[in-house]
Amino acid sequence: MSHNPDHAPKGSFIIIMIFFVCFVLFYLLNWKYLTDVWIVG
Amino acid sequence: MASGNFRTCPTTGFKIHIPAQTLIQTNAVTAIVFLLVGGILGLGMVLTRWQAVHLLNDEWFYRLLTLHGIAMLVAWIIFFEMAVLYFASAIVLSSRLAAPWAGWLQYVLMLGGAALTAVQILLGNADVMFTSYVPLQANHLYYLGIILFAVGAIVGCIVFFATLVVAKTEGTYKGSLPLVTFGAAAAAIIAIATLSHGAIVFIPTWLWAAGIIPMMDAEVYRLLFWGFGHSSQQINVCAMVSVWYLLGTLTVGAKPMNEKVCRTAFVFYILFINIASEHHLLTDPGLSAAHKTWNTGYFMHLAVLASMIHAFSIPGCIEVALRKKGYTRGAFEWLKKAPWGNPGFSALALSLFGFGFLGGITGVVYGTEQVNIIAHNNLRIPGHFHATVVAGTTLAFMGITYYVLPLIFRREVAFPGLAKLQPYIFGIAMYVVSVSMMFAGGFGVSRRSWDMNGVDGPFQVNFGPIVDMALAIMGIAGVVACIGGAMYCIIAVATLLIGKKIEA
Repeated sequence: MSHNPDHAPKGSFIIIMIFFVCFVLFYLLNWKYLTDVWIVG
Repeated sequence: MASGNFRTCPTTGFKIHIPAQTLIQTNAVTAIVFLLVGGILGLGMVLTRWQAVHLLNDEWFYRLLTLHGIAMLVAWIIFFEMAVLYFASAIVLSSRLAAPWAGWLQYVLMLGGAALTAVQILLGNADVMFTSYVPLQANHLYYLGIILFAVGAIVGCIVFFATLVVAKTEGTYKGSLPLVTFGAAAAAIIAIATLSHGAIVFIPTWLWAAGIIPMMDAEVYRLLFWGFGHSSQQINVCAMVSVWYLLGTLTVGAKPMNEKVCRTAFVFYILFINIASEHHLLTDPGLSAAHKTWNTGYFMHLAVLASMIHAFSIPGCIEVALRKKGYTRGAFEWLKKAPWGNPGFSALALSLFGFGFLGGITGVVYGTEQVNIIAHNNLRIPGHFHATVVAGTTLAFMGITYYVLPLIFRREVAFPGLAKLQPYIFGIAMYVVSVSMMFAGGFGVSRRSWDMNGVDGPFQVNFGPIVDMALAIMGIAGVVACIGGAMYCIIAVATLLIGKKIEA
């Protein structure tokens, strides 16, 4: 991997963070949906 | 330049073993034929699930759905993977292929098996769908076909490993295996485990269908079948990631940022990815609740970790390669200046996005025990796996074809303007198909069902107009995706028939 700071993969890091946020939101959305149809108690 | 059984590729400098080249060509062309067949059947599927059209009657829907699953999930993908294995061993390592006769044995067994199974389905002797769950019973020749196919593919994997030994013994490469070959080896290890499950489960089922043994246990069948049925898609994941690295190198000259980390991720795939198969067994009585929760809620995420590593590593190495070419302004100049007109690159980028964002995120969430209970039998799951297998793996394999045609078939790609558009039309249409399926599935639309409203059943289920709209969007996008798939087949066939020859 290059040590030149201009060559650091900053854009890919941002894309991966967007991916991570989408992941968390989709996970939460599905668990919320699950609580709506699978009521405990 | 040709010498004996070898020629040297003028572009890559690879020493190409002619018998390996012939086997790659034969497997790749056969794969494309199955893709064409499966794609035509896919058109029948979307035009039937689109309620306003409802093209096929129930009998032909289930019959052709069975063949669609076999042609796409098994034949297209595994024939192409055989070509990838021979390429990643003999060609990438500039070695001779070990025992080309065994390569031909692989091909004959796989083709004979696939043809036998397909004929039985078309004759109406196997309306059991892809899963062929016992006690549903097909003609015994259907199972024999799958056994022959699986054994053939195992022979192909053995030829791959034998070629690695030949290359090491004859010193055709120095140091460690290249990452592409390492990834292909991981795919082949998973393939041997997977295809062995296929052979093991279908042998007693074949004997049961032939009347030689009296019964086949439904629970044992399901357990072993999913060691084949889902794990065969994990071979795809490994092979697809290897193809992504190869496309990154071929399109922009990318090199892995950290090879050790990438190799570790492939080892994680070998160790943990098959655990994902267990989400098919979440309602089965044979396994304890704790076992199911640990596998689908915890261990499965070690394979997800491997995908996360590749998800950063592949765009990262492409970005580094493009930044080294001078595209260093801001965070995304490299992305704007990337070679989007190169179908190999656009296929790589669209495949990466489709597999990661649409297929990966949904797969992990839907594969978790609690969510899976309400997702597994509706259209959300086909939506997920059309994102992974079609928008992901199939598109990646389409992308590498644009390099295989000149390198292995020695023909310039025909209709280059059409080739530039093809990944966009196919990829984006498949995104829409997948998302609209998942959307309709969220409202409870069942999967594998000709009659989602239960018209002939004891009670009827009515969905709101938004579901009809989602299914209409799925149908229209499905037609567009079929056009994109047809463009790929036309380009490939035209290249072989009328493409300008490249002298080498």
